[in-house]
Amino acid sequence: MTERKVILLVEDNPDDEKLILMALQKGNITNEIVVARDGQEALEKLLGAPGKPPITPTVVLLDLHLPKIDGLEVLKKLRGSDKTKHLPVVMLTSSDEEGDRVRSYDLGANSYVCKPVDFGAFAGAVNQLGLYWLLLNRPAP
Amino acid sequence: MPLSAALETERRIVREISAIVVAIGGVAFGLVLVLVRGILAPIRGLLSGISSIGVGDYDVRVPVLSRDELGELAESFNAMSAQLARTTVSKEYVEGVLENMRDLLLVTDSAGRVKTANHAAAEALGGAVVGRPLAELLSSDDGFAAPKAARDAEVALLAKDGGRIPALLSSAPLRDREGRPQGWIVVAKDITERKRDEEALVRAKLAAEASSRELEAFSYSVAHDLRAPLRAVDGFSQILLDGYSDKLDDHGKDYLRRVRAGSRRMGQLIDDLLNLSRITRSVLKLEDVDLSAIVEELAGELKRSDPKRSVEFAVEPGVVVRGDPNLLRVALVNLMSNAWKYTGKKPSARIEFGRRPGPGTTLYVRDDGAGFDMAFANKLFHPFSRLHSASEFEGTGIGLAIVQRVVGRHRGNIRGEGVPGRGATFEFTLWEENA
Ligand SMILES: Nc1ncnc2c1ncn2[C@@H]1O[C@H](COP(=O)(O)OP(=O)(O)O)[C@@H](O)[C@H]1O
Ligand SMILES: [Mg+2]
Repeated sequence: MTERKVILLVEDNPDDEKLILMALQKGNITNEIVVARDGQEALEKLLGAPGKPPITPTVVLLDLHLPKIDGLEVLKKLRGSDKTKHLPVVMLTSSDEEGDRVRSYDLGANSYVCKPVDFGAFAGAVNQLGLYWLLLNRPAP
Repeated sequence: MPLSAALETERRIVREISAIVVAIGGVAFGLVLVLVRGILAPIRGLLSGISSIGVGDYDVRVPVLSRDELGELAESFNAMSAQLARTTVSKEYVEGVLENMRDLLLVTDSAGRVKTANHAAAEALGGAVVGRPLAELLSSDDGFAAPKAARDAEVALLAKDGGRIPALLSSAPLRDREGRPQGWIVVAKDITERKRDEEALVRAKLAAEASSRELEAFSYSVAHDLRAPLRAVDGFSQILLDGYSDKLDDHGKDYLRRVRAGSRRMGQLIDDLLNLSRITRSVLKLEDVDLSAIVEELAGELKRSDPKRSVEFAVEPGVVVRGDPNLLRVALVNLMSNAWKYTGKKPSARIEFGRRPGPGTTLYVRDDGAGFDMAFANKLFHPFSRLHSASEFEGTGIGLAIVQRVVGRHRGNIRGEGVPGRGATFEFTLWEENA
């Protein structure tokens, strides 16, 4: 049942991308993971672009600092569109600055997770996130 | 009567009349003398006394020449001038004050032309001030083209050397006894120095803000940008250990473990640095903080973290101070966990918290653990400097630096005292008067 659910990972750092994919794999989460490498690509995937229909992931893992359009800006645009205003968005970022957290929640983030340096902790966090949003969370209709 | 007899009678009469005339003349002359001496001289004295008082000299006295009405008049005149001198400010006195005051003083006529300028005004504005319109001597936003009442208006005085002197100007109308406007009295205070200080203050504030913004940006980028590559180092070495261990010999695995330990330690250092800079950046929220309660709570947590250890806590109850609850907690966490850590090698230990009696707020945390060598005490509070090696006791050396900053933000001081093998005491003050 979780097979058809898609995760959109918005991450510009290829190392982090690889580590997240490996962590999910290690946790036996085999859902399709679509990756967007900057904010603009993320918005095109979620809101659609000429010739490309939008995708509807179960959850978006969104980095804060992204090229072109940064994470907070992406979040703001998503919340401004009827299609994506209820879409679960998890901020997944290196920063645990209070300011970033406050701004993220102000703009309607569902969750804020700081990427730990320690890979064990990081893998654990990514796994729990995946399981929670794919299995436990009941999305808005 | 014979002619000769008649002539004789006539001559006698003439002689007598002459004598009478001479006598009358003498009497008249005497009278004039008396008049001049007794009446005119005292009156002249009085007149000159009155005119002296008219120009502000109250020290004048007239001689008392007689014991009559005029004498009385002179005496009461002297009494009056003495009374005036006592109760009235003399013109010289006023002039002395005005001339020597540091503020500029100008008196203008009702059209705003300067009639009088004191020394300070002449000095600042150039000698030839008298006769010039006030409007030529200063420039201001609200314009003094026509004189008007003002109180501490900010103006620039146009100095003789072409410079502009910032000044606070106050002016008020001068009126005569009937209330008719006579002119204006204008006082200006040179505020060059104050302005300079203000500007220096503004510059210093801007610089401080800029550097705190820089610090903010710096720590932000440390937080975000330095962590990402570390995560890669740690993550991929872990993946190598997990998935490729069959391809690595023991040496290879050992090296990889060291890579991981190094990256994690660096991650810890980054977090420490960030915490340190947060202490400095955060806004103080002052409340009454129950330090005893915090310490009791921390003691409980420490005991639970290693229930096998035998540590006795002696916490003075009811130590409440004014301060930021979050920051004070951070300080106590560091002091208490140090006490816990550095007593870790003893079979049993005692950790105390309390307040020193006496004026002011002096608090202490004491333990009977490893202690330290006082020769290096000056390094205790430097970020990342340690007095024990990592093989003896783990740590990054940030804790006491954080404590010192917290104490500093509460205008206090901290010092540590240790005896190797006997224990350590950290004593800190809060809200020192002259800190
Ligand atoms: N309670 C204590 N007893 C003995 N030494 C201490 C104590 N607290 C601090 N020190 C010494 O001061 C140094 C700096 O302390 P701190 O800044 O907390 O760093 P850390 O505990 O991480 O080493 C420690 O390395 C230790 O040598
Ligand atoms: Mg410490």
